[in-house]
Amino acid sequence: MKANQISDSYVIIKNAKVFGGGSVIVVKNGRIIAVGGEDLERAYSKESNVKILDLTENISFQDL
Amino acid sequence: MHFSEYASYLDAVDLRCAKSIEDVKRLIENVGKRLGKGDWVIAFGWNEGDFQERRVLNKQDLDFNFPVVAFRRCMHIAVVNDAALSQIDIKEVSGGEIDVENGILKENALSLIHQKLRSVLLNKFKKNAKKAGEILKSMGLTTVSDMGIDADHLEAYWEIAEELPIRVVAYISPDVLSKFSVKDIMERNSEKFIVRGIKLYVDGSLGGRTAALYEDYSDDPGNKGMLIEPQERLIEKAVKAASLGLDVAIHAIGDKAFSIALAIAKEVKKYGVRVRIEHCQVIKENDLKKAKDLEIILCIQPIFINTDSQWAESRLGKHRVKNSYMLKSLINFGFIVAGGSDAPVEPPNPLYGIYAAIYRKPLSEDRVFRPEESVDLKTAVKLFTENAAYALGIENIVGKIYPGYRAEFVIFNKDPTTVGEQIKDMCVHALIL
Repeated sequence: MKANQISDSYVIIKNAKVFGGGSVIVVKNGRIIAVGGEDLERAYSKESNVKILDLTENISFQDL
Repeated sequence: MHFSEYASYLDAVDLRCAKSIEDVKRLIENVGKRLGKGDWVIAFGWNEGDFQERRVLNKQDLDFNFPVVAFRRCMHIAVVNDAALSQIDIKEVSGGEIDVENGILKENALSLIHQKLRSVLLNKFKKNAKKAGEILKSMGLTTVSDMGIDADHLEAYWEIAEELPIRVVAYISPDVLSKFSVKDIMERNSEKFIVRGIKLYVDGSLGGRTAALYEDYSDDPGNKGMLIEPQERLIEKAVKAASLGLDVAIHAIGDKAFSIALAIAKEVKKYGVRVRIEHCQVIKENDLKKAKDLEIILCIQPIFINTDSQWAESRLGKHRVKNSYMLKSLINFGFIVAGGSDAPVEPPNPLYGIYAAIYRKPLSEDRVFRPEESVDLKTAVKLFTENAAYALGIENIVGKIYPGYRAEFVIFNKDPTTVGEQIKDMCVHALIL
């Protein structure tokens, strides 16, 4: 995923096993906004223009 | 790593798989058949430890009617055949050795080959840089280093930087400062290409027996290796760069070279720059405290075990090898230790480095080397993320998955905390960059 493709969106990466702890990463404008648990997903899902990337789904390198 | 060298050698003949001198001949001959007029065969990666003949390559082995240069895996030694020698202006080079009878050039003498192939290698870099970046990206790398680039490569980077798929942080050769001012260089730093400091070389390689040791090589009595430049000249170059605000990276493999690197560091630390010592393969015990006091960053390539564990004990002897290829000891001593690959010397895949740091084994053999220096997964990952970012001076933007940091991270197809030794075979599922 390129930073410029997600510049105006919140991207919620869920069901991750983050090295260092956490399962959700929220990204905006190419920067990490927050790292944490499922509560983060709930909080940021309310924002407009949100993309969710669920790592339990069959994503491929090309999708990103 | 040496990104530009890695890119330039992408389409060179890769001899890392050669198990005999016959293999080398066959691989080179296959390419030689298709050469254009005036072209050279450029090969790299041979290691006499892998050859069934157990001897170094020489020019008689490369007796073809086209010019051939074959760099040893360490890239500090090369063999050229007669067709190549006839095109090189052979002359004495300070800090280098030339054995014309066998076609072997060492250390600074390699500059004679680089001068001859200057435009060829530079064009290959420009042609291959994007592809090389894509390959590294597919391994999960978002930032790499380029150590010791010359003025030609610096200008080439300025031309192609925006096309690079990943970020490159470069350390320039000191003589670049006679062509460009630090102000000019820094003004051209960008998101994709950053010049951070200078790179100095104190000695050569342990494999090639050119690393500078206090005592003789155990398998080569009378040889203590070599110094590439006198200490005073290195200090002069380092002080000039540091006074201009450039960080200083110092290649030091042997214990004597490490002591000299500390002497250089002592002179430049007063300028507030960061000093990183590259490789640090043999360190005298009493130098550790001095290095710690100077807050030196130690840059280690755990994947060196892949090749060096074959001969490290024969080069150094049973006693001295105990002060070599340290990792856990250095971390326990309190150093910031950064991981690297030194590619194209060893493969750039960071998972290989992480594997070697944990399991202390070559990639395809079960020979465990100094297992007491093994570290856990978390520590091994930190070498290639947080600490590598610190060593490159970009620790405030990348290296951690943490709020405020750039969203640059990798998603693997398997869980590194559960796969055990298969960590080296994991694939990058996706890269956020």
